[in-house]
Amino acid sequence: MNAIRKKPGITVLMMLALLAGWMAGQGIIGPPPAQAALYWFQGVRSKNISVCFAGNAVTARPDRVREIVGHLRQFEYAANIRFLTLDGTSIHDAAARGGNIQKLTCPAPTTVGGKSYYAGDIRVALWNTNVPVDPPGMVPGTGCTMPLVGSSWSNAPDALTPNRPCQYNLKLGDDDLDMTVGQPGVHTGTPWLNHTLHEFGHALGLSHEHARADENAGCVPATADGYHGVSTGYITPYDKNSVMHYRYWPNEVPSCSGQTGTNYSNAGFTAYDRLALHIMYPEDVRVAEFTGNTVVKTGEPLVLRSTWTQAGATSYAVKNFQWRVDGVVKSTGDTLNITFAGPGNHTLQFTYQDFLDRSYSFTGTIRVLSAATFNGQMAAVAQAQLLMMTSSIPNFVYLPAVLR
Amino acid sequence: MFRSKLATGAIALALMFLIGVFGAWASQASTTAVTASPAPVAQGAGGDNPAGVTAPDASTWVNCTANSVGVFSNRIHVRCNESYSGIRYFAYPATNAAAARYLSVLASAQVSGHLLQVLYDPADTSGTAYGCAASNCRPIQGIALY
Repeated sequence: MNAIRKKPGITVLMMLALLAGWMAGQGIIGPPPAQAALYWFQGVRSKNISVCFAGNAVTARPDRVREIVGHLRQFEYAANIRFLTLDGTSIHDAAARGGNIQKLTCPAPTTVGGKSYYAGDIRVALWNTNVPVDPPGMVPGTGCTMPLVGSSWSNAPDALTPNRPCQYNLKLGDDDLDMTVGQPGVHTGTPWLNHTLHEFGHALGLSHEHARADENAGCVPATADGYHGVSTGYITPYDKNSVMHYRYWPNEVPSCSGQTGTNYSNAGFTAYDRLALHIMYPEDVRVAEFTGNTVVKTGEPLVLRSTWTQAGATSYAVKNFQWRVDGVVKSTGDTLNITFAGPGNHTLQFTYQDFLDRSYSFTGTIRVLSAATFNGQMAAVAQAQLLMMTSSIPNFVYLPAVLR
Repeated sequence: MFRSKLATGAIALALMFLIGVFGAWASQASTTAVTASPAPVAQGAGGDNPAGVTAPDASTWVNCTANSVGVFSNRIHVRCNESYSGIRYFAYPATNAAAARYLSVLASAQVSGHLLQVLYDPADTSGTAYGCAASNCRPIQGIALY
């Protein structure tokens, strides 16, 4: 302690060096990882989404059903989404060992207006069950007009009502082909996690990432359907690793490098995927999220920024920013940068809208302190935290700001 | 003499930097070992993984505008303005020695108006053991104050 008292400057420098090293090691310093999302313009669903499996999938392939249900947790972690059985039970409780997995079976249809009516928001058909999935033909159901195409696909949210007569509206294959090794690839024997996320991503309103006009990584062959064709609906920047991005053979996209995700991967959602889902399926209480410090000293700029735009949300995804201080609009951009001449408390109101015109708001207090008061308060904080650091450094406790 | 002191100081700073890098590497190495295995299964829930697919690292950083910090006999917690899939409380068991350090940083964040970031695993509902409800709370894995 004596050394600290005698030479506080040296101690702080040593701490800063230690901290800088720690941050460099953690990857906090340096460019963020390149990581997306594209709105399908076919709606979003409600928070509570019922899911069931068509035909005898639950009894014929219970392990695959449980695997898919487990994968769907990723959506619930990323956004305000709850997957339920038709009676309102969590699908995870139903699929648990000891749970009633039969609750995951889609009920038989009723008849409405001469057409079949299948209950359940997302009705999943698996291969190797008693449900017809192999083309040619039509998806079963009186009045259903969907053809049996492809190995895996999903309806968009808006297609729920018109396709009620169809036994299923999401077909999920067991895709396990490792395309990174080049043609003809290797079957791993285990369906890709991201394949499930991809199809359910469609079901929740996401489109194909690889169809974006701003694809600039050379990860999409010119022969691909929709190649560079979509120029609107960008929620985040282009993301070659998105679960909504197809994996192409290496020889088709020779200039594509560093692609670690896509639909044929177990990497899970990227940061952009999660951000898009977070925006598409907002919290029950829609709080305007911002980044920055709300206590400043007189003459020091107060800089606050939208957390969403900082994380990569586009001007399409989030709009109509308004920062009010004491009721007066100070900024209509994604950032508030303001300097106060004197100490005092001020009311901060931050509002914006997402691309579906849903509003978000935050109301709080900005505290502007005189230099002496600020330094006194922050010094107390810094002292407490420096003592913490000198006693031991626990994992993941970073204290950069207090050393300023 | 002055140049000698300068050189010694520079070496000391470089050493501290390297110690920091090593510390971070060591902690990440241990974290990787944990997250390489399938993600924890929520209590009383499904998530069975018969095919053995390794789930992605679920831990994530989120911003938290702290609007209350609580101390209880069994836990400390922070309540954020923001919520993430319904999670707005982040807690740490009071029985753990690090609780005091976490509490100090959490309280500092609230009082100083500084940006707080929280590292947590959305799948980890082990906090129910100390009053951190599965419906709205997750255990703190790490915090950062900016």
